[in-house]
Amino acid sequence: MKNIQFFNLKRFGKYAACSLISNYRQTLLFWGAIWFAIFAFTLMNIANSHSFWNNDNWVPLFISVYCISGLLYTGFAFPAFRNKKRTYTELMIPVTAFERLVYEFIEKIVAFIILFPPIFYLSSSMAVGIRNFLSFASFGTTHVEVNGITTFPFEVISFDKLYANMEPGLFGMLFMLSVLGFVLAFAGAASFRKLPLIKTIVFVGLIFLTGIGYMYMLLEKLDLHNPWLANFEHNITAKQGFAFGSLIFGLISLIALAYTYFKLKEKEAS
Amino acid sequence: MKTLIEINKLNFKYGKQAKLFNQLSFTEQAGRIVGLLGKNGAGKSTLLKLMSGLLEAPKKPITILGEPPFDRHPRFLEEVCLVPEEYELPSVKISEYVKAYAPFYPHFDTDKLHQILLDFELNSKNRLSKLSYGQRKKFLIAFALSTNCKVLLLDEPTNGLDIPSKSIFRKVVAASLTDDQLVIISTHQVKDVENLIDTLLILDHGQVKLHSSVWDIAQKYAFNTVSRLNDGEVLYSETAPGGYKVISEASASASNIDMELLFNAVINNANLKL
Repeated sequence: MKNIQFFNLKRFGKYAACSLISNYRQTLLFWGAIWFAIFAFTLMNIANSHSFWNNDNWVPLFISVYCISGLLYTGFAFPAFRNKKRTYTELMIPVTAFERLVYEFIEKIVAFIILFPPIFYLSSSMAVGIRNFLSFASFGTTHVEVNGITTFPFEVISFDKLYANMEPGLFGMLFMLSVLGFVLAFAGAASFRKLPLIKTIVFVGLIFLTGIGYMYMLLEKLDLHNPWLANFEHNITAKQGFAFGSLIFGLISLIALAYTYFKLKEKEAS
Repeated sequence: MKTLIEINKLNFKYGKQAKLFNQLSFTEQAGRIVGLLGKNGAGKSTLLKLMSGLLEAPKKPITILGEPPFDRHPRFLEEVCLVPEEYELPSVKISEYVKAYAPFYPHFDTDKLHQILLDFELNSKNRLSKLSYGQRKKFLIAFALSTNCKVLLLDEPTNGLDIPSKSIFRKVVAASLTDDQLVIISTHQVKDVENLIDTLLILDHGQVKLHSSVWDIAQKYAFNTVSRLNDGEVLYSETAPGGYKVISEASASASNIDMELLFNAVINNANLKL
């Protein structure tokens, strides 16, 4: 019984197969719902729009759908722990808590980040195709000419343009911020049985507000001004700021993952 | 025989509730089928959860296969199988469930599973969510027996089973076990496991009230029905249709044990010395 491995690839493979077999319906249902929601939401937006629909319109839609669906997906990680009866079966599976954590992290966070952009692209492009087809049916054309420049009124999303218009380092920081959000929701899913996402939002919100209140007290009420901090924006470049932000978000994500691991390790089925 | 379970001075309570176990101790060896009996709320299910690592016991007083259960090491979990009283199974076919979960158990016997499924009249093409409570229970029992785990913990396994299935249950459990395995069956329906178990473990008020082999009990005590009580010989009695059910010192030959009567005698502190 000694020399227990922390992570065994073969066992991890068995667990991944087992989880996929057990949960594939729910996973397909989620991705189907996301596909349909993006399609319907995009179509509704551009159907009522008579102006151009280009990347400036896509950015807020993409970011909001990415954040909301990502939080919903990761906030309901460890589905077996939502139910006491399923918790028995789950905890009796011969895997380590670390293997369980790695699998769920890959399925709920890594897979989401990888799969969401292409699904968004395909689903929204389909909506744009339908809108352009309807436009052609009504006006006999799918493009307009303004000041001699021919353009399509309803463009599909372009991730290249999305990325190209950002300041260097900003994309990385925003990406790490989204990962942090997902990891916090993920940690909440390991901690709370009922309404994990709502409880996590309230819990993290309270911590955030406490932190803000504490900083406000230090800087404003106790007048603990630090000259370097007071001129923070002049002392570092935007790129350094973004890198610092990315680092902080990454570190908090790692702490949240460590917390998730210990919650899994001490999980009971009372 | 190898000792598989060691519990030494177990104290346990849920939150701020009263103590459920108070210095509870016992050991159990391989090759036995133990009947874990107790009144409602005596802690039978909790004890099984503690033994399977679903609950944490303070100060690690429990050792199963040489391991503290709550560490939940995979090699421990490969050798311990729990059939809980309440469970929820994924909405997949029996064959898919087996494909998903059987690879975790190194000694899993697919032929044995098919035979037990056949005995229980279950089809592996059936979807688990479409089965009745009793059918799902039968499947879980069949799966647990087929894992060939060293320690099998069955919590109220006959709940929800129809009368023929209870009989098949006794048959398959008795037929599919080997000498290096230990089965603990928690139940309050003693009649269901009367002819199956070879060791009795009775819990009451947080402690072990009786821990003895059925053989020893049968050697020491006689279980009879009499029309009139003879105070001198009777150790415990209960009224029954047509007279009394009584426990007395055994005569020359061993009699069949009336588990229900024995259980009541132990719970009511009858003067039985085992």
